[in-house]
Amino acid sequence: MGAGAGGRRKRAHKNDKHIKKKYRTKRRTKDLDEVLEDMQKSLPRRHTADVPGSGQHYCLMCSRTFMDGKAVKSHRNSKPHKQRLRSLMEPAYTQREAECAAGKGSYYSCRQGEKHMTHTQTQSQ
Amino acid sequence: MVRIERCYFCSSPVYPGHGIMFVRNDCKTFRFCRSKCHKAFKKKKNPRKAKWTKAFRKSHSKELTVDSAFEFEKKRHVPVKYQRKLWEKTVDAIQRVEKIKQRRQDRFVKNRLKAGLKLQEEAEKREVEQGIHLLQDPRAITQKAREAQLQRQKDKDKTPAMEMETND
Repeated sequence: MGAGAGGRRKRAHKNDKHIKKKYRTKRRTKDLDEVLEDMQKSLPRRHTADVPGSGQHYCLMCSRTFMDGKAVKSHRNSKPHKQRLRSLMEPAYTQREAECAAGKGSYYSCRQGEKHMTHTQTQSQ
Repeated sequence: MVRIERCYFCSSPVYPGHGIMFVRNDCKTFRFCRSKCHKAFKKKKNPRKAKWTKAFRKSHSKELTVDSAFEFEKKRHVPVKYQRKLWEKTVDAIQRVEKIKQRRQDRFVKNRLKAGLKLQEEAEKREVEQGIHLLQDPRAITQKAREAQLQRQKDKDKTPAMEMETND
């Protein structure tokens, strides 16, 4: 096993394929700003054959499909779902915010509300 | 057009030919200054919660956030025809604004750290009070101790008499 006693094994994370797959952009799950947009739209549920439960049992906040209503119910009580709800409470991070943080205009934190952000946006336009 | 963009994650400048751009399925573009920021984005990290980003520093009011000095640098989509005089004036203004901004930011940080300085001073005072015996002259202490012992003896001699008085 690589270097002997005392030394650290080289390339220890070589076979962490599940992690590498998760962070690829090939099958990227929805970002928070996309989810927030979806929540405002409230699209109808279509029949799609290639997702679990034909896409009929869907959690909008987590953008996940489930097999049946029971699975959705247990998901709603789960920790990841609750964490997701909390992270959706504040407005989505934008390029505009990144630029404000860099000093292109004043920065108003999300806790102070989005009102200020939109105000400065209209001013700049 | 060549432009110095800002990193989506850490807000640092992205110079032409540097960094990487990610285009999402909905045509939204994200620019990153280095692979560190790109990786963090892929891991869906929140820039407001990563301590090393500008967004964190500003949203947790570690730095000056709202100031008129920030209103000069803006993305302007209006092309300006080259004029030598205007160019010179602008360069001069940039330098002056930068100086003012720096001064204001420094002052903000200084004021922010004042509370900590006060606490530190109090802690130091307390330490001195608690360990004052270490600072005193040992001879003075022995002298004091001797005096105290004498006093105690005197009190001891007195107390039986007092008790007797009270008994009567």
